[in-house]
Amino acid sequence: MIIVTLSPQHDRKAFDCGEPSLNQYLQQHARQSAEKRISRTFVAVTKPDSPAILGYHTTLVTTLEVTQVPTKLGKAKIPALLLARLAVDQQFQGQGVGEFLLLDVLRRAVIISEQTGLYAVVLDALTENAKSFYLRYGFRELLDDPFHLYVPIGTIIELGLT
Amino acid sequence: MSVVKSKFFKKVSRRTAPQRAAQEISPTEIKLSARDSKRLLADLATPPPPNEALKKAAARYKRRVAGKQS
Repeated sequence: MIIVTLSPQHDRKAFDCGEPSLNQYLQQHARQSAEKRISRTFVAVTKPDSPAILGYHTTLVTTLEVTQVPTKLGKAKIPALLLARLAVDQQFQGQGVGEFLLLDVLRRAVIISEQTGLYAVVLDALTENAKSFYLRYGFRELLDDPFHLYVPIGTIIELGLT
Repeated sequence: MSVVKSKFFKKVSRRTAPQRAAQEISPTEIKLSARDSKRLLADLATPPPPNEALKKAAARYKRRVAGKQS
């Protein structure tokens, strides 16, 4: 299994993760967003030229506005990588594809942090099941919005992925 | 189907999570409450070590990637 940039060769219509909204995003919006340079979508495939998509992830840069910082900073905006979508085709669920995609996101986050500065990877879990998946890997919940999860870049760097 | 309202987003979304997931992504800013700001900043200053599951996942990932390169 390898991870490559989503391209026209990939069969987006055949992808079915069981969640229609995530299928629809891949089929209708992922490439457009990449062309507009809003986000990037990468797909897991068995071979570089394989059209079948095992899973995908979409990321973009976001900011976290922190309030009442007890220093001279006042309000501060913290750059973070938003993991906006991650899904695995139903045929390949339970085979480690989601974990592989997640680790690929974390590796990319470290690379970005080395180039521009980045403090965390954040996401908004779609379902309780999705949330459980991320909590298993040490993502932390925001107290006032428990479907928003994050992991500090310092935690990821310790993994030595790059 | 519940309506998602998050006071921590500048724009309150009246769409459900699946409805939002099906849409094109737009750059967002996530506004944190005071206590979440405090928690996040503390974690950024002193990042917690990766848990065992994440360490094992990273080891599997590295083996898989190395396997593809050799």
